[in-house]
Amino acid sequence: MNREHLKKKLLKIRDLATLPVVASNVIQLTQNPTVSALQVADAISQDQALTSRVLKTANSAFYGFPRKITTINQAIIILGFTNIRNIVLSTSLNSTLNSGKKDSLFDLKAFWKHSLACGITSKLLAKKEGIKNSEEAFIWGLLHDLGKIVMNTYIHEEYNQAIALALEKDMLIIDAEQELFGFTHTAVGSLIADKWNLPPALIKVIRYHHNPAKDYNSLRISSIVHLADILCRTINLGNGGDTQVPVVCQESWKMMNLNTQILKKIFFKIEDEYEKATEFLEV
Amino acid sequence: MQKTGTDKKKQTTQLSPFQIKMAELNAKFKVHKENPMMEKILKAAKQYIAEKEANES
Repeated sequence: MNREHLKKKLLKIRDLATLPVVASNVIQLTQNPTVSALQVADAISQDQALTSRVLKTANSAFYGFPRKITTINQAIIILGFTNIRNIVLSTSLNSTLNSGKKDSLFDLKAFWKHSLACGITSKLLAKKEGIKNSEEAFIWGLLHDLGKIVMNTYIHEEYNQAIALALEKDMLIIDAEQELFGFTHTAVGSLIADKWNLPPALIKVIRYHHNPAKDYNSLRISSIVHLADILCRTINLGNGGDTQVPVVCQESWKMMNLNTQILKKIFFKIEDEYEKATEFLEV
Repeated sequence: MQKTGTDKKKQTTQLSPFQIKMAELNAKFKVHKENPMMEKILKAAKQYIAEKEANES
């Protein structure tokens, strides 16, 4: 595989991978505390399909509101900016990034299942860690593997080879990517997330979820997603392109203060939340 | 119909879904055998699967 050629392709990916305008506007607006719910509602209403998806998700068992949410403005007031951003981002990416090729070894449905499970688990771990806005952790887990889906969409044939290598040699997909391309989904994902002006914490998580200790400033948040990924792989919730479980980072383990009993409880909680959340991405 | 020796052998070696889950889990963690943190994760997962199985049956 010609790595120079691939690097050129990677730069092209940066230009090609675009977030729908409405989603991009919503992300910008919801990161600004001076913006009103009405302004965000106006932005979402520009896209009819997105509007109905937001309402459907807001009314799903995942959020569990007893009465029906009928308008976007109401949804924003009840769910808050973070949850609305989560819904808009996941809906937009789910419809935008999809190679749609039949020869794909990349199981898109299994990928989103794994991402959803990681989102739920990250939220649970963030709560355990006492993180105030644990809703934000949901999107960290949901989009931690953004690079994989971008690569599968824009360098599809090459990515198929990486998956084949990982499966054939029983290795992690990240190691197969490094071996074949000289770069990995963590670099590609953070590059794209940065271009899309996604929240800084999310960019860090995408970059460091395989090696949280590499950036001490983001150790806590990257550790949450790092562990979420390991736990979801352990109990087979979805699939991210390989069948292996990465080794846990020692610093993350120490920081999270985990033991067998706590982990077992977390597994049960993941299962419970996952059942409710399947409507989130219609997986 | 009378079962042949091979049929009987197949029957006795056939694993239940629970046993398959456990075997897959063990295989996944084989490379982490020396790691005490991974051993704890494996132990927790095994307990979770076993309790879930017990609750369902």
